[in-house]
Amino acid sequence: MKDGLDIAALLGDAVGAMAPTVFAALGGLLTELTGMLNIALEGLMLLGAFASFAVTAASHSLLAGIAGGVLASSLAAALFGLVAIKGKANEFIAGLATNLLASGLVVLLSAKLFGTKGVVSFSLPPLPRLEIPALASVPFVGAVLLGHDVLVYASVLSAAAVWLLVAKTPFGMRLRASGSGPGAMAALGLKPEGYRFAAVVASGVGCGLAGASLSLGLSAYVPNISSGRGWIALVAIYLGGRNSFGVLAACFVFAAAESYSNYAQGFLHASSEFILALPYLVALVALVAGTLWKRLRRKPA
Amino acid sequence: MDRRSRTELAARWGAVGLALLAAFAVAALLLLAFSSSFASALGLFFLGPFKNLYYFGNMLNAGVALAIAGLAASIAFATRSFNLGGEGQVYVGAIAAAVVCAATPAAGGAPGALLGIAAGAAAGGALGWLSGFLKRSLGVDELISSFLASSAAVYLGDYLITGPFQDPSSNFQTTAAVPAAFRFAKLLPPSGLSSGSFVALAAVAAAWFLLSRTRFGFELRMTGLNAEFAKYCGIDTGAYAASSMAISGALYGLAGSVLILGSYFKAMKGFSSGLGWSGLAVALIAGRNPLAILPAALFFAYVDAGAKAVMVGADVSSEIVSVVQAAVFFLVTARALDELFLRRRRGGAPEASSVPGGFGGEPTKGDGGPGPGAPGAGGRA
Amino acid sequence: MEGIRKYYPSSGVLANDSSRLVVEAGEIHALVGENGAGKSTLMRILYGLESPDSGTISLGGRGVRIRGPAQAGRLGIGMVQQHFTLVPDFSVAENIVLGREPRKACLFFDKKRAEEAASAILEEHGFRLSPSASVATLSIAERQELEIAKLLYREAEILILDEPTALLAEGEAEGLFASLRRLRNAGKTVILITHRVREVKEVSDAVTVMRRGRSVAAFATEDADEATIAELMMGPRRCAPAAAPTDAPAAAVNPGAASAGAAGAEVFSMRSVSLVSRRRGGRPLVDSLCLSVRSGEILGVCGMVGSGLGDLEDLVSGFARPSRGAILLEGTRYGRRRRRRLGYVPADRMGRGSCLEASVLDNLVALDRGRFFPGGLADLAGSRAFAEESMSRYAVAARAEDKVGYLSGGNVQKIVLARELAGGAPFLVFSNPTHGLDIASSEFVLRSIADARSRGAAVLLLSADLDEILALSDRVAVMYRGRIVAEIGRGPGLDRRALGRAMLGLGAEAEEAPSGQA
Repeated sequence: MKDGLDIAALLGDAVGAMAPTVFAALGGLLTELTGMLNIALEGLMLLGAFASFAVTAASHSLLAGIAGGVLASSLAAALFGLVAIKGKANEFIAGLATNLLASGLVVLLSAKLFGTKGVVSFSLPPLPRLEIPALASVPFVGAVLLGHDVLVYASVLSAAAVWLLVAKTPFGMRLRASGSGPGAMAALGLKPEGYRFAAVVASGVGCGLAGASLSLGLSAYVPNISSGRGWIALVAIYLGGRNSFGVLAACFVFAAAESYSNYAQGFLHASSEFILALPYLVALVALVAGTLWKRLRRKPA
Repeated sequence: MDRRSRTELAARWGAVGLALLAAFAVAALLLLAFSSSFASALGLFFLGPFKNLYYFGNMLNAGVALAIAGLAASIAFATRSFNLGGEGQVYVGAIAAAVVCAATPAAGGAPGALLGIAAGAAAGGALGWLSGFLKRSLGVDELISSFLASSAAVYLGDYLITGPFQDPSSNFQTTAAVPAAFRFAKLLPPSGLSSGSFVALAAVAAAWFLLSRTRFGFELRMTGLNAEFAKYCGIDTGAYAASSMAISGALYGLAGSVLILGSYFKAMKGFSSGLGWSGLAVALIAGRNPLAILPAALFFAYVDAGAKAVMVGADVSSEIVSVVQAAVFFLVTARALDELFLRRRRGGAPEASSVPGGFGGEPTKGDGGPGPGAPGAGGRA
Repeated sequence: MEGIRKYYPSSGVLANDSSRLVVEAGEIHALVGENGAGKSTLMRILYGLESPDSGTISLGGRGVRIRGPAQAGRLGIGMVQQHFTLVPDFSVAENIVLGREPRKACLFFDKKRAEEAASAILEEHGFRLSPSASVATLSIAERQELEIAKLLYREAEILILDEPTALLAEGEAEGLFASLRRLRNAGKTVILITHRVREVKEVSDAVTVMRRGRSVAAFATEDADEATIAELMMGPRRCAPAAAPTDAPAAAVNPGAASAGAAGAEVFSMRSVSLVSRRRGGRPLVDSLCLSVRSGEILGVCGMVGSGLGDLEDLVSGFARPSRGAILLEGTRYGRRRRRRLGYVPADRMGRGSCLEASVLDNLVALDRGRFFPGGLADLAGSRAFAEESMSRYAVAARAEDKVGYLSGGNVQKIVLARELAGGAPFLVFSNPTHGLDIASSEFVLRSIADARSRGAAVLLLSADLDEILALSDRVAVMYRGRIVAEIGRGPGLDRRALGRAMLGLGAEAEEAPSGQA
């Protein structure tokens, strides 16, 4: 164990770890912008992780695996969207149901396909990583920015893409209008429900990518591999101020907190359970602080 | 009962009945897909729980915990609050009960058990109260805060079990065993059914009494049924929403203690109950009537027992319960289904559950302008 | 539009009953009527937001079926509704182009072209709005201009405006009229829904009057004066057609006898109370209002939609706090204790006055919980006795366990009355008490109110229904644009015409009237 705190390594770990949360949070951001409550991110991520793992194992193609993960998540998301939007269901319960469905289905499939409910690991083609030898020697930047797999970089690029979509395209405008001014949409004959559904499916895509980055990054599927990242994504959306770069920043902060707690676990000899609880505690504190902040900002009307 | 009440009740039963039927259909489908022998799996699933006293008793026992959990979720729903922290609340309740009982001199007997139960309820209630408090004083959404707090609590509970409260004499990661004097008596050996069932019955009865015969319960109900009317009558709706979270947490904690004192007798690390989620499912099916919790809990216990029987007999994982639960959730909550059954639409009466404010901000409701002279809309701009 | 019929089964309201509307191109056509006359519904049908049960619509001689706002837009019809449909986070330009956004490279939003297009439309029609301004910073009048600009961007030829002046201040209405004239001169057709007769005369070319879902008259504006239009709008009594055209319920109530007696001490007063809404901007909802009610008298306050009557109700009942001024009950300001001394029968009897999902019994005991839950436990026998007694006294044909949501409007109102009058409070507030009730229930309610007054209560009656006001009040105050513009005591001066004119803001006194006397 290192004696001192290697900040660069810490931040590097954070960058690597935040990808799944970022993907999920970006997808969730889109649904949030349309005014929907989407708590299904966790389950969709789990489904995506398992599906991408299974498809990659079967086809030995990363691309097929990622596509499979995205497809599975999107289908489940579409189910959620159908029930919540067309079926006018309580969004919270529908999201809960999606999570339950995903967690149950994944275990059943794992037992059936791989004969185990536990960790499944194959020698899968690894995700390509970005190495630039010339830059690697740059002291700080090298450790932080290089050496991550492609999906990590893709997640950052996705933040930019989502920002573009939301802020600069008519589709993004209508998406936002569905949430903050559905009356305006309806009065013009545009259908906010259609855009909501599109956003839900998009969140499925995001969670599929999130799941893929989890399981393919490990070349294994671990039960409950998402371990709360879907919920952290929700908090990140809330804290990020409905702006994809804010969300990206929030995800980074959470990942950094987790990195630090992993480090502290070894260094401070703190109990591993505390470390595991830390992200949730941090999220809770952040939620309270964020709510307070918003209330204080609204006061002077 | 007048005709309209009957129509509405029939529609509700219709929708619930459809959901339950679909649940069975989904279960059958899953068995078809995942079992090696469909016919025997089917038989095991639907009839297994009745095969012998062992299965049957265990099913009832599962129903006991489910009933208390369902009650817990219901109380929160009564004020339109969402308690997503059931898992953590059950866990800390279980740990509290185990630890307190283990530490109490065995001379007690029944009082010792009561102490354990009280400790469990207090622990769960404290967690629930936290979310309620945050909602009332800071406006923090209780759905997310209860989930986060309980997730953190699960890990902290793990720490407590493996750390300060670890049973030194055991090889497992668990607290010390509860003295025999405090354990609930077995009612139907060899099954696990214990006198904890009386606790469940007492809880349901107490809940019913509270809600229908006390002022507190009345004000609580009004808060959930029509908050504006409640405020107009001088009811502090914020306080009741918070209290309901605390009571909900306490009931989940109670369920945890019943699990310990009735079945496990010690709190093992990672003993995952899933009660937090099942409780929600039971509450959804039961609707607003506390007395309907018992049959709803039994239904889920039946599905759960069937799954266990199938797991033992036909190598299908017991996770089919989750999928069946999910199907039930989807169907029960799709209000459009309700409307299928109602031939005429009633005007005026507000529909049941709705999410109390999206967690990032209230989605704006855009009306296309008010409809004409609905009764009571008078001369308001 | 011919023979339009629209019935809402969920609320049992027949909004349009063979309505007819004929509009010429290039004119400003006013569609007038009282609240509930069916004007808004007719226009919503024209704009495709609702579909008629029967009837036809033709444009330029060709029959059309309008299935939705998008199609209406394509046909050149646009509507500015009462509740604005703007996206609050967007800029002016973005709101204007929403749905027909100019694009760059097929994929991206061309903000520059959008702002240019918006500027063009705004300038062409004389709206002084900046395309990049955020909607949140706009005043009500500016938002309205934005709504109109939206329609013009879509090349609407027929513009429908639903009560556009309801929220505007004096000067702003002038600006709106100037814009409307400009639009008409540019060849557009404007349909203006309003209940303000003065506006009709000021800006319209033709008028159609509606009453209770039917079109009762149509003519050129210059052919009729304000008084005639007002009379056509208000029409004769709305009681059961078989009854003689006299106050059938009123006769039973016979207020004349009671008011001959002395009204007692002042129980309730409002001193220069104003209510300003933070969100809406524009003029105050209630403007330096003064009111006083004494025991043993009924003060009726009437006003039309938009007069601030609803806000007055919120102030009096405690749902809103005054921005300025004081509200006193029995000499002390409103506080928690007030609930015992105030009986309140709200206009919104379903949402605020009762809990539809709860039983009759629950609704009756909800207010005086100290009495019905002694020591925290329900007094079942006492509650039931009270319920039975109330139901028999108020002639409610139901059982204590029935859900209130299943009762008829009349029975629900009687339950509310039973609850509110049981406590013997000295000050009673009734808002639109007989709105939507059948004749028998209306009579009962009116009698109960009169009885309460005879027993010495101070009664404040808020209503847009002149029948009620005239039947019961000892004194009548008229509200218009947040102020009291007239106060008339019972006597020869108190009649429908006088009240109607005051409610419509007519008459020389309307503008300079002091805000009532304390």
